[in-house]
Amino acid sequence: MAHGTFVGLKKGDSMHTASVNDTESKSVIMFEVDGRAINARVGDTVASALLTAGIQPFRRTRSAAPRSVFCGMGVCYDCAVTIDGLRSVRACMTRVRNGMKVETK
Amino acid sequence: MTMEHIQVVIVGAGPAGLAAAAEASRAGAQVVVLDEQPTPGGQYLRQRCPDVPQPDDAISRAAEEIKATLLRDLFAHGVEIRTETSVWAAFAGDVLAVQTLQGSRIVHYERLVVATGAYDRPVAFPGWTLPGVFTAGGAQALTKGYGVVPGRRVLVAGSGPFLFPAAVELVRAGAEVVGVLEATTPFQWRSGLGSAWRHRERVPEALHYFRLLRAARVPIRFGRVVTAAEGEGHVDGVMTARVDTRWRPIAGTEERVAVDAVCVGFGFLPSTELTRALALQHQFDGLRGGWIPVHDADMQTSAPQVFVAGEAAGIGSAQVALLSGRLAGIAVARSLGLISARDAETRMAMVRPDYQHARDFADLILRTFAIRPGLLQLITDNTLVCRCEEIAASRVRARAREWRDDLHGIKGALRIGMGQCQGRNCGRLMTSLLSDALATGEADLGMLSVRAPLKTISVAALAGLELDDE
Repeated sequence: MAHGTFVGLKKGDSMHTASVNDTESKSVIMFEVDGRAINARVGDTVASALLTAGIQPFRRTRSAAPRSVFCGMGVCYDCAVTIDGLRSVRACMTRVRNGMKVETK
Repeated sequence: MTMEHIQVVIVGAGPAGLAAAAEASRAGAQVVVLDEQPTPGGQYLRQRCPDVPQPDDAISRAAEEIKATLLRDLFAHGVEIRTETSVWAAFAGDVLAVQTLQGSRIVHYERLVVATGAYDRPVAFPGWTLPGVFTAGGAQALTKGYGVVPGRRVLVAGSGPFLFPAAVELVRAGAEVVGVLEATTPFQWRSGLGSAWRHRERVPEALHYFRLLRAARVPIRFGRVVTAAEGEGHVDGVMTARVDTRWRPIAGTEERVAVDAVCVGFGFLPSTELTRALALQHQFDGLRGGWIPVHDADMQTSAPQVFVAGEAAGIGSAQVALLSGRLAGIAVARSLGLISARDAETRMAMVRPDYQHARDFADLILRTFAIRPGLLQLITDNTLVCRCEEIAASRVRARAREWRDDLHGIKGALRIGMGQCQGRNCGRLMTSLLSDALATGEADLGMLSVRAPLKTISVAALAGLELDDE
């Protein structure tokens, strides 16, 4: 391929439109958020699992302002939660594991 | 705790880090790749959650193919990839402190490749700390990796070609994308058209995303930005406005859009915390993201045992990252004496033309969509500049009058850049504000220093470290 381009496109390429809501999610991981049992999928991070479960905000600042996921890639610490007693763990960088105990603030 | 010895440590498992690992290990080096994310791939080659469907188009297939080939190469040559692993300090004597959920350890390296990537350039506006405001990169990580949408009704705004794939992934994950706002106008792209001809092979990719967005009935509007996010406790709408050529909002053009999420992307900044902690020489390159580590054509930095690759060496593209990673990996192998200078030159000669071509295209894109100073007018006195320590713009502007261009004085006085993000968000915002307020070039303000821990660590992790001599 000329100049090492990543892609060549063919006619008829179209967007795969299946949404996760259509697919049957395999909820095989069970963890706990503020004492409540939550299901997650294999491969979920704590952040993706919390967003899927509609749990917001993830924490509050010293001035009690709500915060949630912002950068999604470990930069901003806005999604920091307490995991198994360890404080300030980035939810977006941590994979959900069975029996994990997550505390939001 | 004994110190672990690793011949080649690569920090970052994105295209750059994986490509560097492939080249170095192919030559026989012992390579360990560290990455903060749960899976290798970085942002561009991001691994999808098992039940997130793989899009069936040529672009996605090509990316999958690249990743599969790289990972196959790495496993064949015994490369170890350690995920959910953060580097939080660099010490003299070629030693890194590394943290996992299990605790901290110290690693000694012979050669280090910093391939730490980039993150979305922060742009502050009223309400940008509300839940529901995401960076475009963050939204893409969620949709592409986990099939999770940041909201049901989403607006994408900013500048640059990254907005289109980000919007496409949102649609794929099931969000209603109410629009894409691109701050530039196509008329402003005209100066780049001459050199764009040399990169015409990229046109199908752009058309691909345009077609997908049109099929999903996502309107694309030019010359308009998000000026504020609104809502009680969560975004319930955003204000947008038309901008002039300097991206100053034009009064009377405001519109309110009801959305529950907004994804903002104005390009990227290189992740240079580690190269700064290593006290490498840096130079200011406004086009490629600001302060970047000085490096030669073979990606070697001012410290002969340290190499850089990918976005951390200056913003480019996934392609630039991959090819610069190859160069760095070959250079590492040569510096360890694993391949001859002649073999290295032969291998590099196969990469360089593609690298240069990709680099030229990336620079053209960076010039066309470069951030413009009018955006700073969005920052009202009450707008937070530092998200971590909750420091408003009024305080930065007041200090600017008092401390002038003493960046470190301002940092110390306000504690800005000393929160958990270590200045990754507020640092560049602060220097932009200062350079605007003082009419000084950003380069003249100097580079913000970093201090360990680069990433938040627990006291327990620190206690587990034995820094005594063995």
